[in-house]
Amino acid sequence: MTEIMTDTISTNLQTIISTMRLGLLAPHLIVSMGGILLMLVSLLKKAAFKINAFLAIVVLGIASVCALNTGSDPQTGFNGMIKSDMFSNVFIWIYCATGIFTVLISHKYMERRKINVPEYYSLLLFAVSGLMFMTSASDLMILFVGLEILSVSLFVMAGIDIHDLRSTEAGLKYFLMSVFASAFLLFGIAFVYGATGSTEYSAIKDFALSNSFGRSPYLYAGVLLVLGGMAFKISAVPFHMWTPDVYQGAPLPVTAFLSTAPKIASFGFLFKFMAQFQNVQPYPDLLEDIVISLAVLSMIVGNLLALNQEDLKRMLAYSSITHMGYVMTAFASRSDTAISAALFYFAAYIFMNIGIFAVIAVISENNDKNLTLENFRGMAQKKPAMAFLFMIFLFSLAGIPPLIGFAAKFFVFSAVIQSGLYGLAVIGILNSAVSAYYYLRVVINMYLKAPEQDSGFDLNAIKYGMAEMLAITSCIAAIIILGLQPTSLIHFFEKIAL
Amino acid sequence: MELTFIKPFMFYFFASLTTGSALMVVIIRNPLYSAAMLVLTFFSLAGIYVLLNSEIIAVLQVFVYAGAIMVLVTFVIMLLNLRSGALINKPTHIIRSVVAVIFSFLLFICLISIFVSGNQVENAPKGVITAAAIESEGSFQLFSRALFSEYLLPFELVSLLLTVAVIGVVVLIRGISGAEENKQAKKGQGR
Amino acid sequence: MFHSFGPILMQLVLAIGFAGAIVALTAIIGPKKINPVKMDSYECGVDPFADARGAFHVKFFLVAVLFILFDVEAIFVIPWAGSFLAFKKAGLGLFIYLEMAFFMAILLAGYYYILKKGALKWE
Repeated sequence: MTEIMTDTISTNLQTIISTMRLGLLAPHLIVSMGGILLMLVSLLKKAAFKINAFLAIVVLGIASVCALNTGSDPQTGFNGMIKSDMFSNVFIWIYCATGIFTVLISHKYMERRKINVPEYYSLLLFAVSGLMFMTSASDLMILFVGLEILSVSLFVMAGIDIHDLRSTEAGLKYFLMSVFASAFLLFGIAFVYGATGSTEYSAIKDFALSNSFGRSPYLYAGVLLVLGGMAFKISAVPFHMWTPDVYQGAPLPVTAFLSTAPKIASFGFLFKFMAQFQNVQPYPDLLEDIVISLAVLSMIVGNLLALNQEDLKRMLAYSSITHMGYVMTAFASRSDTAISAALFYFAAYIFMNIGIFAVIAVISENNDKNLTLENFRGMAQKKPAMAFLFMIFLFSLAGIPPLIGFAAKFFVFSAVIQSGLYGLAVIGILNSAVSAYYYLRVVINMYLKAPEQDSGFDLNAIKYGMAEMLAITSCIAAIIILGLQPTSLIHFFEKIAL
Repeated sequence: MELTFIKPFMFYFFASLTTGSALMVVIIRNPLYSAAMLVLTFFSLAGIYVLLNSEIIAVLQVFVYAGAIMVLVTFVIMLLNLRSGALINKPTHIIRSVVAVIFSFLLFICLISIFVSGNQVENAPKGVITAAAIESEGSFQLFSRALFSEYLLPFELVSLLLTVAVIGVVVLIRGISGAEENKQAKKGQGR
Repeated sequence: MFHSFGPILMQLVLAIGFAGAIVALTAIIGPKKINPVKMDSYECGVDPFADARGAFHVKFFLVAVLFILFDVEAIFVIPWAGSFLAFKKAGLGLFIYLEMAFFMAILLAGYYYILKKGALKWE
């Protein structure tokens, strides 16, 4: 008996060792080891916060360069648990860029608020490594552990301002909701494993193709639950309840990170996972209906709730729900053009969202918690340059040409129309028109209204930090250049197949 | 001695115990008694795992959940310093509970409709870890082998996850413990 | 496989039965004569003056969480120890050793961190 066993161990492990290909994991390992390094650096008594900020940027830079090295043809490693291809590389670059931008806008903000805990950057790096594992995974176990590494770092980052009740509330809320979502996801994974006997995407695909998806209730239920769990992370309606409170309470740079990278990673996973069922005939109706209704609900409810929001951060939270609804329409249309359009949307979304949060971080010298739309009255007179930059970000979010937001929406909706979902595209375009209202409201306040006296909010006190300005200007540059010349980037994304 | 004929009875015993005690966790108003009921839930779950021939999971269940996690739960209850019924008397939002009920019901309908509709493919257990394999090698060996060979990468990632959690705990409790940090907290309040 | 749990089941039944029987018997046959003196604290005892459910210091919680984290870690060592010989026989002793060494190295870095941070210091 033991003889048989040692033989199987031996052969099993020989194949696993020979297919390990640690090189594929180079960016992931660099970032996670960087996180450990930063953890140890934060034991230093002095200047640990500064050193860590610098090291975090270096680590993320090296990791993104390493992703270049792995090559563009798909390779699998670790017995099929990791699949590295151009798709996952694009996500690695997106995460590294988000991470670097977050470090840039964090530094001054955190020091000003006396939450300059050096471990913050360590947690940021761990979060980025979790994100990378999520989209490089081709096995649900890796996905789950990656997701947990990400979530645990994010709870702490959101609640890092322990002397501020709102921040603590944000951390706790995000924790409870994430745990709930993880439970959904894990339940789904268990169903999928029970039905197919494997957690590997390719094995799940084989099972679905040979058995016809709809005829295996366990697989069906499992996929549905996985989708539900991820909808929490994406904060698609009706799983969006946590979003405004967490966005409002968490420190601004954390909100900037939270509103971009994890959602993009969740979508990245969904695109990769659902691509396994692309050729299943007939494609399950219920699944399609659910994705479409998630998209429609997210767009409409997000917009409606944003319309009469007075608080800027809450408004942006609801508008981010709407944006994820647009991406959900691309996800619903299940075509290769839709995937490249979604990738373009992610790139655009990073620049717009990080940029706008960077501007808010600069503007809100001391009271970002209650930053209302009224506070921006007459900003154009007092701080014309900053008001102008803010306006560009708002225009881009509203989807006004020739900025990148317009190009992104254009690609997404044309992909939706190409796959025949006309109703969805019409709803999306209408919503995008409605959303212009609340973005333009801020612009009107800034440019057309007289400055308010004693609003308790001194716009003259705004100070420009070097790092923040670097983040803002590079986002602006990307928004304008890619808005005018979107073709090269979309052509690059079109070559990416799943 | 084969005792397989009592297996179904054992299953129904443990299953009803699990469901019943889980229900009690929610119903009982004293949080400490709820916690005690949770221990019972975990134990009976361990019983179900044993019936499924996976002793190692049963042992881990008792070690981690009934042991360690319950210590934490009790600590949290103590930390919060809840008088009995302190949380219960808060009014609940009717709209919220209605929405919650509607969506849970929708989810329930979705799952039920999936299981009811369609001619099902054979639901025999799949995968490499079959009853025969467990019988010949034991669940402990099978589990360890899978963990350290096929699932090597997730295993290593768990160490990262635990480290992140360690950092998180230390960061979140930083102002409350340690004299040096206390000063910083006072400075923070003074601004 | 299943029959090897017979003794455990027996033990369980005996333990629960014995404990239950003792409690039941005291309730049934024990004399119940309650008077104020009997219910009072013992001579040298201290009269209760507050609710036993006072608030705990958060340090307890810190220690509890750290305990759980390292407990979970220990859980992974058990299957490792149990399958080490099998792996060694297959000529992969070094490999499984390195696996655990890597796992431990990361956690020890975390342990070093909490020690240096003074999270386990009790003032």
